[in-house]
Amino acid sequence: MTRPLLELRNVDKVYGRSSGLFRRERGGTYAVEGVNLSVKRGETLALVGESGCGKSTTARLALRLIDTSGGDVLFDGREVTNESGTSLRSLRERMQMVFQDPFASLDPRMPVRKIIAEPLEVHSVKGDHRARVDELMSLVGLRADHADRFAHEFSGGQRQRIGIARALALNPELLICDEPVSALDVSIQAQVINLLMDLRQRLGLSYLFISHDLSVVRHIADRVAVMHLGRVIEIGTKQQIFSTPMHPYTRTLLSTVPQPDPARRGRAVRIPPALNVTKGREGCLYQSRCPLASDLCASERPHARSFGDGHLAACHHAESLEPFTLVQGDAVLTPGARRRFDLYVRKRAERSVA
Amino acid sequence: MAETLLDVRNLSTAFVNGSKKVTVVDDVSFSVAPGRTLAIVGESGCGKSILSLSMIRLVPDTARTVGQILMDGEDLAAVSPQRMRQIRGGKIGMIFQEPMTSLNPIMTVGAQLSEALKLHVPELNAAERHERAVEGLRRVRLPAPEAQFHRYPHELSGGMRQRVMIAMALSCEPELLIADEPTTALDVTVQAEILALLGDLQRDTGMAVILITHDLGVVAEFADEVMVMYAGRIVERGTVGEILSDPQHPYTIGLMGSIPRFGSDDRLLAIEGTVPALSAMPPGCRFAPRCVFAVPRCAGESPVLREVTAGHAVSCHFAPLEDNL
Repeated sequence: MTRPLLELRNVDKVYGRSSGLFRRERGGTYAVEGVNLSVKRGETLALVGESGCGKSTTARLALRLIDTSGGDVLFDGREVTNESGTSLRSLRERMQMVFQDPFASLDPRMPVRKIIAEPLEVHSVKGDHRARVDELMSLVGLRADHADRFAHEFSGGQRQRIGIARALALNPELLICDEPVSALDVSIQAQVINLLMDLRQRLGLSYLFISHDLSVVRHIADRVAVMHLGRVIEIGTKQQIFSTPMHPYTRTLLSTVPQPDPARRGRAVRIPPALNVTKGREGCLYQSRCPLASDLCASERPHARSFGDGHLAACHHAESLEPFTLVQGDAVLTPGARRRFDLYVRKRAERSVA
Repeated sequence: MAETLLDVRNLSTAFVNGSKKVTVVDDVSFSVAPGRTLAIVGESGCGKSILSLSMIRLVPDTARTVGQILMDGEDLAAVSPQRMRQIRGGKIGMIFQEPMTSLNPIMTVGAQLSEALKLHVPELNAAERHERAVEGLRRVRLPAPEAQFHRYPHELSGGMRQRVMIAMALSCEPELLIADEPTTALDVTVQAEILALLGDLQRDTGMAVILITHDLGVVAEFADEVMVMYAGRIVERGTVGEILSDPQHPYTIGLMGSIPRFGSDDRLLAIEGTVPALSAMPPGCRFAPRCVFAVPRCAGESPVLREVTAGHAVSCHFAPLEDNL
C-alpha cells in the first residue's frame, strides 16, 4: 500500500488545560479529540459537520498553524509535529490553504500580482515571478492583464480565484480548502467548484475539503469524514457515506438538507441542538441527540468499527439501524421544462466551444 | 383570487449621487395574501434586500423610492414617518440574516423584547410586558425562557439568537413578516428547526411571510409563490411548483443547473460571467450578457413580464424557449 500524503493519527487539540510540573494535566476543552484520518495522493477527502465541530481546527492542525496537544500529523511520511524552521517551511510549500472569506483573506492594499507572487517571495523561489503570476492567473480563469488591479475591484468569485492562484503558486501537492465556496452565490459557487475539479485533474492535486454543505461535498469528494463535537464519528467513501451511512448522526445530517422539490416538503428530519460539551466527554457525545441512545452509550465511548472496506463508524448501535433511503432530488420537471434544459445544455456547450 | 394583504405596484428604488442615478430595484409589482409565503429569490446584487428595505422605508437617505406599497388601504410609500414607525415592528415584523448584528450586544434579550413592546403596545405595564416577552421566547421554543430573558446575545448560539429575533419580530403579532435570509448563517440542522418553527407560527397566526433567500431548497420547503429577481428586475414569477418544475427564464434554469445535486456527479452547469455592476447595467435584457440563448434583439429591447400560463409570468422574449428557439 502506498503511503498517504497526509495522515492524522489520534490527534487532540485541547484549549485551557491546566498543567504544572508536579500536577497531572487536567481540565480543558477539547476542540478535536482522537482524530484519525488520511488523504491519499490525488484524492479529495471532505470534512463535514456543524459549526464548532472541529473541522477548521483539524485543518489548521494539519498545516501546523496551531500545535497539537497530542497525536501525530504526518505529511508524506514526515512528522509535521516535530519539524521547525526551514524543514517546516519546505513542508508547507507542499500544502497550501484556500480560505472561506475571499474578502478578508486578500490584502486590500496589494495589487493582485503582488498577492499571488507573495508565496514565491516568502519561499525565495527563483525565476521569473511575473511570468509565473500570468500563468497562474490564466490557470484559474482570470485575465492576466488585470494583475495590477486591487482585490476590491474584483467580484467575490474572482477573489476566490485569486486566493486559489496564490495557493497554487508554489506547486503544492495538497490544498486545504476551508469552506471555499460557502461565501459565494450559487451560480458563482458552481464556477469555482468546476475550477477546483479541473485543477485537481490537471495538476494532480489532493484536497482536504472542509464544508458544511453536503450537496457540494457529494459533488466533489472521493471520501467523506463526518465530525461531531471534535470527534470523527464516521468515515468512508462518498458512496458508503451517502448510501449506507452507519452512524445516526450522518443520517440526520443527510436528511436535514432541504431539497429543491416542494413535493418533499416537511420531510426534513429535525434533531435537538448539540450540547456544549466542555467536560464529561465520557460515553458517546451524540447520545443527547440520538434516538438510539442507551445506557451503554452513556458509559462507554464508542470506538470506530469497520463496516467494510475503509468504512468506519463510531456507534454502539450501528447494527440496529434501519435500512437507509435518502430523501433527495429535484422537483419532477414538466416535459416542456425537460426540453428546455436539454436546449440549455446544448446551447451552453456550443457557446463554450465558440 | 384570494384577498390581498400587501400590494406593491411599480416600485423602483434608485440611488442618486450628484448627476449619477443607479436604479437598484426597477419597476417591481407583486402582492402577498394573508397566510401565504412569497419567496424572493436571487443572488447578491439582484436588489432583493433593497426591495424589502424599500417596502418598510429603511433605505438610506441617498435612495429615492417611487411606486405604491398598499397595505390595508394605506400607501406605505406616502404615510408620515411617525406612522411608518408604528407599522414597522407593529403590522410588519422583520428578521435579518445575521442575528448578532441585529441584536444590541449590551442589552439583555428581555430588555430588547420589552423595548419593542413598550413602543408598540404602550398600554401594557412592566409586569405584563415581562410576561409577554417570556411568552414570546417560549413560543419560539427557546429552552428555559425565564432564564434566557436575562441573558445577553453573546451568551446564545446562532440558532438561539435567530429565535430571539423571531420572537422580537412576532411580539407585536404582525400581519406581515419580512425574513431576509433568515437561515443562511445557520447550520442545516438548525435551519430545519427554524423553518419548521416559522411554518408553525405562520399557521397559528395567519401572518403573511416574504422570504428572501438564494436557496432553492429553502424555497421548496417553505414558499407558496416565488419571484426570481435578476439585476433589480423580476425575471420570473409563479407558484413554487411552477418555478421548480417548469422554470422558464434562462436565469432560473441556470440557477437550477448550478446547484450540486445529491444524485449527479456531472460537471455543474454554472452560469458564466458575473452579475453586472449597478452603475453599468446593460441595455435591453439585463441577463443577456450571460444568457446562452441571447440574440442581438435581447441587447436592444427590454423584455416585458408576460404570462405564459395563468399566474406564471416570465420576462424573456422567447419564452417558452422550446417552442420559440
